[in-house]
Amino acid sequence: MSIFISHSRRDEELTSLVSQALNLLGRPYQAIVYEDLPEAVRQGPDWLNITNLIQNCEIVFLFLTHNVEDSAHTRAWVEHEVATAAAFRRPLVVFQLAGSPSTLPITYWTDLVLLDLQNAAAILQIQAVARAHGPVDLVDNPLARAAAGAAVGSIAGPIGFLIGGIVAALSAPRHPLQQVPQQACQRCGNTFRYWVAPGDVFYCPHCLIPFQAGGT
Amino acid sequence: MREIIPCPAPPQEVFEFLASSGSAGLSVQTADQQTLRIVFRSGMSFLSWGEEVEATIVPAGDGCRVVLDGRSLHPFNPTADVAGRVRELSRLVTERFGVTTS
Repeated sequence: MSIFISHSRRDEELTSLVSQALNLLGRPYQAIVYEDLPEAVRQGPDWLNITNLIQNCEIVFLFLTHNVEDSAHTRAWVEHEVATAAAFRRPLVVFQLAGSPSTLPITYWTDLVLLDLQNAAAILQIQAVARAHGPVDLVDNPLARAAAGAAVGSIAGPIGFLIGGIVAALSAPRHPLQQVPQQACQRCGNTFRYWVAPGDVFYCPHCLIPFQAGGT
Repeated sequence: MREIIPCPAPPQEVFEFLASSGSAGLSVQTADQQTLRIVFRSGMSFLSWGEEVEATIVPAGDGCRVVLDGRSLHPFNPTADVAGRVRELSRLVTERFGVTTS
């Protein structure tokens, strides 16, 4: 699963942390940082290379920091990457820095993560988001479980086949993304998943209005 | 599962009787007059994918022996009623022709 990292080049430390977090997950997770790619891959216009990379990736991680909004050049690239992700319907995860949210509005995103870089758990948080969007283990796949359950249940005839398949499919754990709370912004109409500790404040990436995370 | 029924009737008569009869839940699948072999098969039920019983009529003196070999259609279906199917055919033969006692 390739993850395109949209960021400011000035956020070297952050980018390094993210790459490290994703590399620790091992295959199939792969972080794609454009400027770190071999020269051979970056022939021709950058806009086209980036468009192709986003088209061929599974998800985009956008690190929306003040370094992004402080540079017109970087803002342009981020806007291009957001629009490309939208065009190809790639999930786009916005990482908002806790206590210092960006004021650059974006038009498309699917997830919002409140990231506290002072917290050692930031790496775990990045990994959790990647894993939730990643491939489902075969043992957790409802169809695979139904097939296995039906095969085992078949020793008791057709009724065992049916019951075995149904019970096995229903016992599959919920997809990780289904367990993430969602927020609907009344102002812009966007609905998105948010990965925020209960009680913490986060901001709509488009309207920039605050929300408080619910739950216990 | 195998059951052997000694029968006083001639093999051909027993063959024709079995080939033309079906019992509850069992229907004739194939009937070979040359080898005197008949294959019966049942349909699916709640707990069974179906059973098959092969009846082979072997001449023995003035009468014959009816050899019934039963199995389930699914390789591993312990809830299949193979014994019941074999008993059903055995009952048909013994009710019609009796059993050789000697």
